[in-house]
Amino acid sequence: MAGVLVLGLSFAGAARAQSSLSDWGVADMRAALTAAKATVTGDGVLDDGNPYVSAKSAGGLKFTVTGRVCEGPAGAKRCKGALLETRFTLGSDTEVETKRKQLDYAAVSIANAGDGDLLVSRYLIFDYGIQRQNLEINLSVFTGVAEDIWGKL
Amino acid sequence: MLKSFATMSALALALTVPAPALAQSDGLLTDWAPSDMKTAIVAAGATVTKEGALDSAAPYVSGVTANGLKFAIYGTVCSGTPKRCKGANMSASFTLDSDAAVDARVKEIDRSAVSVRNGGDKSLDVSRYIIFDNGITRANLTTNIEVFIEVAEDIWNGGGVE
Repeated sequence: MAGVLVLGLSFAGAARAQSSLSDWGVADMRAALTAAKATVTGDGVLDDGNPYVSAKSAGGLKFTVTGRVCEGPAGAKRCKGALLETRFTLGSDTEVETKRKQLDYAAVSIANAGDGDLLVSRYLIFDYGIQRQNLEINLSVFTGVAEDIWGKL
Repeated sequence: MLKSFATMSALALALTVPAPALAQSDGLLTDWAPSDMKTAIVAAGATVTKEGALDSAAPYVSGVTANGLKFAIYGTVCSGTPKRCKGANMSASFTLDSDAAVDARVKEIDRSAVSVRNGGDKSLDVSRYIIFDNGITRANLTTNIEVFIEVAEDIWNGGGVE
């Protein structure tokens, strides 16, 4: 779990069976979110037909995982990319810009989403395979970093 | 300007990606050393220009793309002798005309695969962080490098805006 330590997070790694994912479906993501100690709050399909899963971290952070580059039948698409996103409403563009300049986290992208919202995201690439536990750690790192940012707003 | 590489995920970034066959019979990487990263950089179509160690003793490998983009990959969370690292931070920097120009670009760039920030001294910094814990395939690492290069070159050329 050492890759997580650079981000100042702790991650207790239980021994679990390893298997690779070269794409993901809703069931895979729901399982990974649960393993990452988040609570799945919903799932569905966006207007473009891509799946999403919404969740809440143990710390109360609400976030979504949205599919990118998805193929397959409607309602059962599998995706090669996953966009993890959460946003915080600060109220003004000036405040968002001020905060964004103060925040420096390599593992996430921090953007001004407009309308006074600060957007925090991380994009995962599944092409050719990542281990399920690697996905879980990516989710944990994202929620850990996002919660840290939340605490600084 | 666009180079060829095999990744469907890059399509999400609105990039053109012809897909040559890429060997997938490789093993997992749960950490990396310079030799692993040099192989991946070459597989991504770039040229390795240098390798070394930071003051922290963490390794780095620098490279240049066929289009001239210079970048570096730094090890994080490294241990052992020789060092192997659980994290990799890919980074490229572009010097703009002014700090205000950097801020304007940071505000308008919309590429979720990378982080962009004002690095000071008129520097626009673009980075992507890879986590190796529990394993990614070598081909996945190569795809991550390809995507980073592709997005960084797009930003370099004034793109990156939705």
